This record gives sequence, C-alpha cells and structure tokens, in this order.
Amino acid sequence: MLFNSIEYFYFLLGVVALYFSVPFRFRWALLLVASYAFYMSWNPVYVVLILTVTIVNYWAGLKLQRTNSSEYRRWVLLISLVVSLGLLFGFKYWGFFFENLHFLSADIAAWMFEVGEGLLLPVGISFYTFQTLSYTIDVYRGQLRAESHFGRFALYVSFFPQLVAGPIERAGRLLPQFWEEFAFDWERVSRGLQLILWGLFKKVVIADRLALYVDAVYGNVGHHDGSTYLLATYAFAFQIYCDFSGYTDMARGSAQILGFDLMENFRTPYFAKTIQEFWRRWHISLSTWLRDYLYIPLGGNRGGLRRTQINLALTMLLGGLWHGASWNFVIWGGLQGVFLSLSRATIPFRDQFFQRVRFPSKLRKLIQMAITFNLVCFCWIFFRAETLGDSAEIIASIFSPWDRPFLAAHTLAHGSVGLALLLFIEMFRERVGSLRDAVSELPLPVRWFAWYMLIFLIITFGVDGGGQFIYFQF
Amino acid sequence: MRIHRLVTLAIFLLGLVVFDWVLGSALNRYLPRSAAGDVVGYGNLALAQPGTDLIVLGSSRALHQIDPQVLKGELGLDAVNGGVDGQGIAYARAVEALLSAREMGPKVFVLNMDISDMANEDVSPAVALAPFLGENEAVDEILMRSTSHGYLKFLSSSFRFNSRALALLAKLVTQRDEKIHDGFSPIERAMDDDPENVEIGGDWFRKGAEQLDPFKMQLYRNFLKSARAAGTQVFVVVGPRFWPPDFDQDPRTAPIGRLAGVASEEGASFLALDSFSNPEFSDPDLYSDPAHLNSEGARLYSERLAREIAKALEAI
Repeated sequence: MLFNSIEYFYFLLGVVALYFSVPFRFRWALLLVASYAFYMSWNPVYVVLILTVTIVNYWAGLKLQRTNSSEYRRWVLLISLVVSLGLLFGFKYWGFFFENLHFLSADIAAWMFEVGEGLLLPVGISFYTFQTLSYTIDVYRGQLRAESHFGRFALYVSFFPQLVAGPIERAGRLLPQFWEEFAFDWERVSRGLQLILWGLFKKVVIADRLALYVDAVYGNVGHHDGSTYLLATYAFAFQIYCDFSGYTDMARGSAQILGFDLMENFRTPYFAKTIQEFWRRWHISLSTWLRDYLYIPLGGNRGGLRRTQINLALTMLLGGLWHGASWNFVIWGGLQGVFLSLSRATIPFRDQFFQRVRFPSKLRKLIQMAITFNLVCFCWIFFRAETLGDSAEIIASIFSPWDRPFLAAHTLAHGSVGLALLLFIEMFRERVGSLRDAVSELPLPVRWFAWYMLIFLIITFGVDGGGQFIYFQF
Repeated sequence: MRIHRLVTLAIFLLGLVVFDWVLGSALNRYLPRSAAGDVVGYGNLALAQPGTDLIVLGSSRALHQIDPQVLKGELGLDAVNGGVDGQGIAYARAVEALLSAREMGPKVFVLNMDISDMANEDVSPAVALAPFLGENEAVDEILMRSTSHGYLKFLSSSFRFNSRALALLAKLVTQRDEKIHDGFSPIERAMDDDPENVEIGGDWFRKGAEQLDPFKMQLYRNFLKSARAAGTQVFVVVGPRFWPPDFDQDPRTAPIGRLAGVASEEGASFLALDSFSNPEFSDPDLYSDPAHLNSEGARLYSERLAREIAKALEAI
C-alpha cells in the first residue's frame, strides 16, 4: 500500500475516523492493528521479523532498566544487537556477503549464496532496525527510561506513517506522544492534509515524471552520450530528493492528522554550501543517527584530524552500506566520507583563498552551492547505476566529447513545471520562511485558489500509476 | 463551530468540483487542435482527419515501419499512419470504435499486431484516449481497465487530460496550428548490437496460442467485427522481427496462427511476414533493434505490404 495510492487514502480515512471515535485507552491498539495491517499489505510473512525485533528489544529495554550489573547489561545489549542486526544482515546482506567471499572457498560461498537467494528484502527493515537499536542503546546509556507498555512499544517500532521509510524517530521523541490524548483539531488536520498534498505533488509531479527520463537513460547505459548522462544525473538528483522528501512529507502529514509530530527529515539540501551542511539538511534522521550511534562512539572529532577523517569515512561507508547491499552503495558512502573529510580539512585554505581574491560573499555562496551540488550529483551516479561498470561508463562518457543529447521533450517539459514550483518554494523557504505559513496569512479565496492549483497540478501533471518510493527498497 | 467547519469544507469541495469542471471543459475545447505533434503524439491523428481512405493502427512497429506514402503510391488511397509508441490492440479498438460511431470509418484499416501486446493483460497505455470517455461504450470499457480506480479518477474532468494538459496549454499560448502530416516516423539508425548475440528480452515470444490474453483477443475480434459492420476492409499484419542465429523458426508461429484464425472467421485479410519464410527480412542491416525495422527495412516492408494489399483488394 503506497502513500500515493487510492488504497492508502481509504486506509488513512478509515484509521482517522476510527481513531477519533474510540476512547483514548484503545487508541494505541487501533494504531497498532492498523500499522501491522499496513505492513502486512506488502508481505504478511515478514510480520514475524518486526514482531521478533519488537519482542527482543522490549525485553532488552526492561532488563537494562532493572539491573545495575554492567556485565549483565552488556550481555543484554549484545543480544539485542545480534538479533536486530542479525536479521538485517540475513535478509539484506547475506547474498552480497557470500557473493564476495569467494576467497574463502568458492563452493561454500556459492552454497551460502544459494541459501539466501530465495529471501526477499522485507520493506523498511533498515528503518525499523535502526529505530529500535536507538531505543535499546539509549536505555543502555541511561538516557531513556524503558517503555513498560508492550503495546505502545510495539507501536513505536511499527507506527505506519514512518514504518517503511522513516523518518527514523528516536524513542525519546515519539514514545511519549503515544501517551498523550489528542482531540480532533481542524487546524491540525488541515495542516496535515496540506503536507500530504505537497508530498504527493513532489512524488507524482516531479519524482515519477523525472523517473521516466532517468530510467530510460540509466537503463540503457552504453547507448547515450555524456550530455545525456549528465542531464539524467541532475534529473535523478531531483527525482530522489522529491521521491524521498515527498514520502516524508506524506508520512509527517498522516501522523499530524492523528496528532503526532514526526521529525523533519529534509531542509532544502541542495542549497547546502558544503558537504557537511548537505548532511545536516539531507535525511536528517539517518545522519543524526549515524552521528550519535556510530561517529561519536568511534571517537568523533576528539582524536585529531587524521582520526576524525577515519571516523568520518568509516561512518559514511557504513551509511552507504545501510542503503543497500552492493559495491555501488559502498562507494557512494565512501565518496561521501572522502568529500566530508576533504571538506573539513580544506576549510582554512578555502577561507584564505576567498579572502585573498576578495570574492563577493553572494557569489562565493553560489559557487559553493554549485560545487557541493555537483559533488553530490557525482555520488548519485553510483547510487543510481545498476553496476559499478555502468557507473564507470557513465562517468567516462560525461568527461568525453559529447554528441547529440537524448531529450524526452514531453517528460522533461512536464518535470520542469514541477521543478520550477519546487525551486520557487525552496528559495522562498531559504530566504523568507515557510511559504505554507505565508499562504495561510492570505485572504481565504487566494488561499483556496493556491490549494486548488496544487491539486490540479497533481491531477493533470502527475504520473498516473507512478512507481514505488525509492527508499522502500532500503 | 463544528457546523461552521463542515460548511467551509463543503464550500471548499464545491469549489473544487467547479474548478475541475471549468478546467476540464477548457482543455476539452482545445483537444481537437492537439491531433498532431510530438508532445501529444499521434494519438488521435486518425480521428482528426475525416475522409481518410486508409488508416494504419498499431504500436511503434506500425508507427516506424509502415509508410503511408508507399501505400498511397501503390493503392491510390489517401493514407495516414496512426501508430503510437507503446500502444496495442486496446488503443486500436478504441480508435476504431470512435471512428465507426462518428461514421468516419476509412475504406481500409491496416492493423499491425504485436504478439508481445497480446500476451499480456495490460491496457494502461490506452488511457491516452481518456478525453473521449463517455463517447462510446467500447471505449469506456477499455478506459475503465486502463487505470486503477478508474471509476473514481474519471469523475474528474481534468484527470482525463492527465499528462496532456501542458501540450494543450502550449498551443493555447502560441496559437500555433501544427501541420498534420501522415504520421509515419522512420528510424534512421542501424542496429548497434552484435546480431549474433542480440538480446530479444522477455519471454512473450515463447507463449503459446492459448496463452494470449482473453480480453485482448476479445478486443481484436470486436475490432474486426465492428469495422466489417461499418463497411471497412481490414488487413491484419504481423511484421518481421530479427531473430538471432539460435532461432531456427519464428517462435510466434502458434499465436500468429490463432490471430489468423480469428481474422478468417471475421472476414479480414491476414498477412504475417516472418523473416524465416521471407529471407529478405533476415538482414540485420534492415533493423534498428531486433523489434524494429529501420528506414530502409520500413521501405521494403511497406512496399511488400502495399503489393499484398493491392492483390487482396483486387481479389475482393
């Protein structure tokens, strides 16, 4: 059941109606049943996995809370990590791991690979695994009290708006909200619907439209020239942004209608002036997770420049692997790590350079944004290409003499209309603030007209029956 | 307070319905001007040219392979190519139904059939004809199957112009009438792939005659029946494809036989030109890819087709 489907519209309508009709004490149960039904709409069998992760981490949380023995606590944490990460490894990385273990024994590797071949990747496993791990680690660190109500804890792991593609919520933020009673609030429902609408616009008008072009180009590597690959890579940059942030907006909007506040996951990332800043604006829930549970435990920036660079590279490498089991994702993460390290190491020299050449600050910002955007796009090539060979061929073509580009005029024209509106809104947000808030100050007819226009752009410019969300595969 | 909110919501929804109706009607008004052009496609080219003697319908294999000028030269009939990339029998049947209902049917239809289309149940590309919803029962049935929840989506007048509105609005601004030509769009390039190891893709060609989609077979039969009732002569053609050396016969033989059987039952002419019984089409230089003839192949194919149609017309 995709957020951009009519089935989800019916589902959400039903859940909202029931949610505000039943007494508060039953609401967690209603949301839990709805969340499990939502998850089971993909593959009912995999509900066993989410249930296992829930039970083990619920048990671990309580045990960690109730004992002071540090050795026992370490064992409990270890069990929780082994089960959660073990399931993630088994379902997501098994094939990749044994495919690349031929140096041990080709026969064993091939046999192990075959064993895991029939396993389908459960939707959202990376998201709920990380979300649950953060809970157990926070309890272990004493930063969070364990949740004693199993139902509410299970709801924290499986809450349907953010179950399959985040944001990866921290228990300290989300769990207390399940104890709060929300009354039906027109204003909040209206704002939730507006977020859903905006997310839907980004998904069906921009992401799904650009996907038609990107798929046509990246699906036929070897048949296009460098300019086409470059255009398709830029298109992919906006496709993935609109696909993922569109999903997040719809998730946040759905939760908001019910009364819950999910964290912001994107903050105009392509306006970032450095790679560090990009990661403060892109997939914020993952980057902060990696910072808090990987980068800082590794030592963060406390061990000098070289150690910091190693920690950054390692964090981003694992961040890349989190996305998917392939060398392309490893390289994507590795490159992000390298760019982050280089960016950090060269800050003084760059500052010196810009001061010496006396660049106007606005021009400097523009140049920095352009460079950062292009570095990010370079990494996207590895993210989108099917194989490492394809990535290499695309990069080689971009840096070779160009021929006549392949332009799907109809697709790109439609995508451009959506992109123009997105750019306007993001620039407004960057310079002034939320356009939605600004619109809400306008007289009613103007406000309504703006929403009508958005609705009709979705109806007439959106791709009917568009595809899955990209991040569902992670 | 609650009543006030409900009234506001009702007014908002009413405004939505009015806005939708106004937008849908405005786009509908400009629809006839979108008959040609690469943005809208040649979707309703056939519908836009009343009085045409011969109309070619089909997918990219019709669009890129059948030259109306060659047919016109041989047969002396005004001809247009209404083939559209990605379309199939559902689209062809809908166009035929619209033409017949408007009493605009041509003297001759050349219906280019694809086994790849007949072997699957997908009729979603036919949603391109959504602006014609409500004009004909046969079209409505196809449209309702062309998108999920069609009963809901088609309540919106503007949804019928999904993905077409930009081209229509562009015409509105530029006030430019595109010259409608004959619709033929030859492919100039030669096949990139090594003919020895060329990939066919999919396994549709291995499907037996009994595995053709029943709904599409029904559409095919209805096309022939309805055209015949409107007094139109139909030539069903299946064009050649390039097969790599490991194929020793056309794997489409069984499904082609079934299509030929239906054509015979409905009084239509049938012509299948496979590259095994017609070796002149086995030359890889005539193809842009295994599924499509290039301009040189299209010229040969069109000439052959024209001769065969001329012979058949003489016999009639």
